[in-house]
Amino acid sequence: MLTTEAAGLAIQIAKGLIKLTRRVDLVLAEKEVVEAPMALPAPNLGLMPGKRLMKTELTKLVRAPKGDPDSLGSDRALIEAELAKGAGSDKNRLFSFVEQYLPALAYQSQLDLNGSFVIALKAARPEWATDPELCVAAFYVSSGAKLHKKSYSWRIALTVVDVLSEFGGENTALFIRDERLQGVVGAVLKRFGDVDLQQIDSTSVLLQTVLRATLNGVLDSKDKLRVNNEWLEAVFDALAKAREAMPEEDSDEFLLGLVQGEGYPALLGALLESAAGHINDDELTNFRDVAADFLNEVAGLVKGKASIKGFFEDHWGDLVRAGLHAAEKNSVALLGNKKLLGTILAQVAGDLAKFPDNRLLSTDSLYGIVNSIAAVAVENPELIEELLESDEKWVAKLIGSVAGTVADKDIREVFTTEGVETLFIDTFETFSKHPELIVGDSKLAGALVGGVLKELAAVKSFAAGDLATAAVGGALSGLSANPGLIKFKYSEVVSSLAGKVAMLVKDHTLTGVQGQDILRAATASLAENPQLFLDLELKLVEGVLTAVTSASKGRPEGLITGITLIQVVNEVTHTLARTGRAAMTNHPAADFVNQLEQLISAGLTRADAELGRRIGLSALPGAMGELVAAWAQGKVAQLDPDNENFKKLFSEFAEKAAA
Amino acid sequence: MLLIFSSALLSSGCVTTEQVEAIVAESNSAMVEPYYQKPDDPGDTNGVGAVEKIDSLIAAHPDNKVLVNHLRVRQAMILTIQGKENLANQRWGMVEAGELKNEREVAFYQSREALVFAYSKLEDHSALATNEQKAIARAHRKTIEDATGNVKTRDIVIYLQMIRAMTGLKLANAMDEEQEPQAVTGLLASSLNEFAATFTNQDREWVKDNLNKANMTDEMTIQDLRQRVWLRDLAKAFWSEADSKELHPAWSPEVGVMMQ
Repeated sequence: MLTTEAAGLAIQIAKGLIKLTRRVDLVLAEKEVVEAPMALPAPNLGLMPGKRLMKTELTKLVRAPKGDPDSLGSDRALIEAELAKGAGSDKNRLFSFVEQYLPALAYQSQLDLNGSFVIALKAARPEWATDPELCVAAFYVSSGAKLHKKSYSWRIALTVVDVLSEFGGENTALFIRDERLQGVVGAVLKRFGDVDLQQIDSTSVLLQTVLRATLNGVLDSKDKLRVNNEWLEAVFDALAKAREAMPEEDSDEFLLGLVQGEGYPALLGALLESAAGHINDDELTNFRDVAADFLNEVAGLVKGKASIKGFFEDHWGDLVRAGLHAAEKNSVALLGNKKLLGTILAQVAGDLAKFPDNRLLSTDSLYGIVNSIAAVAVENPELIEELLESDEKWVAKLIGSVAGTVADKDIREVFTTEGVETLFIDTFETFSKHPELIVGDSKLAGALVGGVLKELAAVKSFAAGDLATAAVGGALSGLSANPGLIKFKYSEVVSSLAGKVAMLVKDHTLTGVQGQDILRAATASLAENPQLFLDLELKLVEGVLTAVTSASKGRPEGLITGITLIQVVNEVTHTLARTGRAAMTNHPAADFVNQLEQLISAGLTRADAELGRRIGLSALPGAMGELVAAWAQGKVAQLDPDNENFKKLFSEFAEKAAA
Repeated sequence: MLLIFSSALLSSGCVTTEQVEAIVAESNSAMVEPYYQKPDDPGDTNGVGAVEKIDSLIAAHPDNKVLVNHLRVRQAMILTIQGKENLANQRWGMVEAGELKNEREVAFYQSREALVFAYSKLEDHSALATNEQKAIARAHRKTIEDATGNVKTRDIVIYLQMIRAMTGLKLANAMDEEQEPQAVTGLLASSLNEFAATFTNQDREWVKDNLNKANMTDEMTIQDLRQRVWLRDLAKAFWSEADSKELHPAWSPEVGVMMQ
């Protein structure tokens, strides 16, 4: 005897079988009507006699003896009138008379293709001609090529899966022991069962449908999931909230796009690794709301815009992850005003999407951009809203300066995208610590990195990458130590210097390593006294460089090489940084650089002559520094290395430096 | 018990499929019977039964778009072939072209107006009396030419090109050969030449050898015989039309193969 449970199961199985057979029946019925041949006869064709023949016969008719009464009646005159027109007679009018008075002629020409065929069939195969089904089949025209992407076998297989998933959804407990998972699997199968899989015609649509059903099933049952990670739950909650807020017809498509995006796995990975203990429950709730608000805001932004949609789907996970990182670092300030973080993320997403070069930006670049803006928000909370809403498009300019640099054709010929982005990442790291740098000039990142790279790209030196790193790194150090430098067109100065050094490296005046060291030293010197160097429009630093390197080139023994060269440049620029005001007071600006070059050249000539006697290589930088300091104070009247006063002065400095 | 129950269910479950099979058979008979009477069973010579059964089946499964629309095309073709112009056009208007899943139905849907015209007008000796009707006929020839451009299946192409060739012959016959002899001559040539080009050399050789008989070799199918007889008889009709009007169309080499 069946138990109640077994009887219930038997009924469930029977219902499932009925469902299956009915659905398979429909698929087979469709297959039959699509693939069946159609029996198609040819139409019959009636042809008018030729015009000349009709005129000939009608002429005979009217010339024949009249009967009493006249069989043609009043038509006789009409026929004669028509015939009198000759070639101009109307063919259809003639036929109407033929039809009435000469019907045998009118209908003599008929084409019956089907009759001809039947006659031929009877003659060729008399036994076939008596088989009614064969006669119908003789007129078959096949259905031709099928336009389904998938065969009916596929459709029937899907039908079986369809029914099984519905059955499984209603009877999950039969298959899954873990009660927690039962809910999840049941929700997924139910979603699967809600879809009419039989109508799906292609693999890609099927996969999308499966993904959608799976995701929605998981979201339906996320309470049952009880994931041990609050951050993961926060994202799932955010997705669920976003789904609820959207119109039903759009929600599936939106969610599907999000989880198919490239950034989604990284987001989940980051969330799983996050130390949830850093932030309290209230802030976790705030973060969830931030993510949900962000998704809602951009849902409207992306609707109907395929290019923005694709970008957003790929990078929303990166942006949320960046927001998470910013929140972890600045939680109280940032998540306290949760609208602000969501607004920042949404604005970044929207502005990023507008740039056609955004596809070149990596996750790390996006991270850096968000972090920098978040840092501004934390340090300048009263200012950030104004910046975000400003007509000057502060965020767009920031992003544009980065995207434009990464995409620049000249730069991309010399530098790899990864190399460029590494420089930006370092730059944004500095900005996140010194947000005031980009408050005043949101394009600073692009100006600094882009400016340096363009100068170096134009030179095409083999050491471009290392020189760029040194120039940007040196500039960032300077900016960190003295953020006021941004007032002095610092980026342009550094860029021009980098180009100059690169030229010297390219023509082997300097090695690559020397170039890097000089750039670091020079950028640091610039930072010490920016007003001096910028007043002189950079010529001063380049003048020092030119003077030192030219002087060393002229000496085949290599007096100024290696580390000594760098030390001399370093010493001279540092001295000028200290004494620059005096130098500018005592020497006319128009001739300043020229005089400096003469001074250094004269000093090196003396050093060359006295090397090993009054001066060793180790003392040379110090001696040159003393010389420059004296010159700045107006104590060096003659710049001639053979002048006795000059010689005496240099010797004093050399002894002092050696002491 | 459960097994027996299940087996019974499965074996009796294909009700709709059987209905469709019956409709297909009945509609095929209905389309052919007006032109070829079955010897002992006059059957549903008006096709009314098949048309009504299709309506019933569509009403039972309105959501299965592919099934519904393919049945609609079949319904429309029954009415088209029977020359019921208004009813046919009504049924064609109910077809959703996007749900058609084979070459034949798509091509027929594209050619629907030309097909309705052919079966309702070609038999009438005095049809195409006006210039407007002649223009319509020319347009239909173009429609079929475009529709067959996308078709790869031979027998569908031959069927539609046959309709096109007959429309061409009808049009040439309706034109005034005294007032526009060159136009008539050109139309006769292009219509037959294009139709002959859809056949193989083997088909054309058969026509040449069977102008007054119909030899059926073992290699030929019954469809081959039908198609070759159509080609032969149409070619003879074209030649006769040209001869009776003392016109000399520029027949193609393919047509020349068939002429003795």
